[in-house]
Amino acid sequence: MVKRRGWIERLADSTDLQGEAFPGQPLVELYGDRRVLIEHHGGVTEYGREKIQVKVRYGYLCVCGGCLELACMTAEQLVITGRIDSVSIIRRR
Amino acid sequence: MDFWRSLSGTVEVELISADPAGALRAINDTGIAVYHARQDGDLTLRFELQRKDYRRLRLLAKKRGERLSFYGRQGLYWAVRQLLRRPVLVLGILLILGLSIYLPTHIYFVEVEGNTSIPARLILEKAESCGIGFGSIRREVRSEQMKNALLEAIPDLQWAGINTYGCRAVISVRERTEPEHSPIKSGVSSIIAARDGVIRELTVLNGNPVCKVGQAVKAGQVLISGYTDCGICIRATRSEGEVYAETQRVLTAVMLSEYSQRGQMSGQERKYSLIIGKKQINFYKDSGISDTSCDKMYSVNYITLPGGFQLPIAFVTEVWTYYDTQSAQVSDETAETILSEFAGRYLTGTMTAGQIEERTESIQWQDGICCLHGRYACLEMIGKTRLEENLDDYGETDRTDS
Repeated sequence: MVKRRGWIERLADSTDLQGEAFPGQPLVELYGDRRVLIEHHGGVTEYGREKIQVKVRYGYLCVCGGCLELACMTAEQLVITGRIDSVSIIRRR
Repeated sequence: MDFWRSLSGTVEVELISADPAGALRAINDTGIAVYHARQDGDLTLRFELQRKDYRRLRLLAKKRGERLSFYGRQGLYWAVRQLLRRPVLVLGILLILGLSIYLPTHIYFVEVEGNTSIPARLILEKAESCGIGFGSIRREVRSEQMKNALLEAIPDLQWAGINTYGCRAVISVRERTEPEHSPIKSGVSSIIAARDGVIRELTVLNGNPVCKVGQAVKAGQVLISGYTDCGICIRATRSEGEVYAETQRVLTAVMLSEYSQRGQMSGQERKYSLIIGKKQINFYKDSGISDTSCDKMYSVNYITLPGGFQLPIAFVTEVWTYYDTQSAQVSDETAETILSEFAGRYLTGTMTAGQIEERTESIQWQDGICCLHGRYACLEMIGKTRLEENLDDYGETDRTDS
């Protein structure tokens, strides 16, 4: 069953506002193929040199590559550096 | 590393955990920030965190049964803390910094260059009264103003300039050069007699001789005139020549027959004092004035820094040497000899040129005083140049104008 979207999200879609205007929304920024910034994360669920999985509100964010490192991890943001091959979203059912 | 993170200091740790991802999650849930995390092995994580979070992480690791190892310290905080453990070094660095900022704003060393006959000490004393001395503020040293004050204080100076280099001031001076005393090269002059005498030799190089050998002349009498009557005109010139004459001189000289003579050394005393600027601090109790006769050697040693920079602080050593005095009597022959030699030296010194040809001396003793009366026949140069008034030009002249 599809979860009903909130009225804020429906309003955002209709007014074409950018997602970051709303607080709490996870934000993923990819800088080339060497750095990923993830804001509003829920912690690391899997950690390795080839794969780092990060929990977000709507599921998990999986970063795959090589020589991956956590450059910075705070309560608000998380920075992964290394050779990034793919960034994928795994939705929570 | 972020500057502020470096300022607060970070530590590097190694965490061995069965579930590295779970450990990271737990760390994140606690609110501890982690930097540069990397996996060294399957179960080993190495990362950096802020100094203030280390204790919380240690407690968390202990609670979770994980092993936390301290690896190293990084950041400016630790360097400063290390430095603060050496207070003398810190004070020294601060002192040097402070001195390097403060010292160049004041003048501490003053040097003089360019002086030859005027003593440097005199120039420095006058400069100090004009405002250039130890401790003067460099910004208040006004070169033009002080130069004028210095020239007014020392008239023998022709020019003075003041330049400052850090805490050193250099006073450059140039002294007035007196023009060489040249003989009268212009104008009309005659040669007159400086004293009475009978002319024995007359040498005329220029001018008109108005006396002859064998003539008795009085002081002030013209011997060689600058004016020559040529009949239709009067020729004016500058007289040159030498006139030697026999003169008579009378001299009376006296001396005591009894005098004090220095005997054996009876004692020696050393006195010390310190000079700071213009103040003198004596390290002895009395006034420093001796009621007996003695010798005093006074030596001043200024503190000089490497490079020749002299500070206004000096140690003074006075050595007082006391002697026994003995009375001594002058014999008659010795007294006569001393007085006669003195008379000869004195008379020869008063002559322009010449010698004593004949002397008649008599000695008298009265109340312990030896008195010499002498009459001396001398052969000396009595000619003296006198400028004449310039007459109106109406005839031939070889007067050269300066």
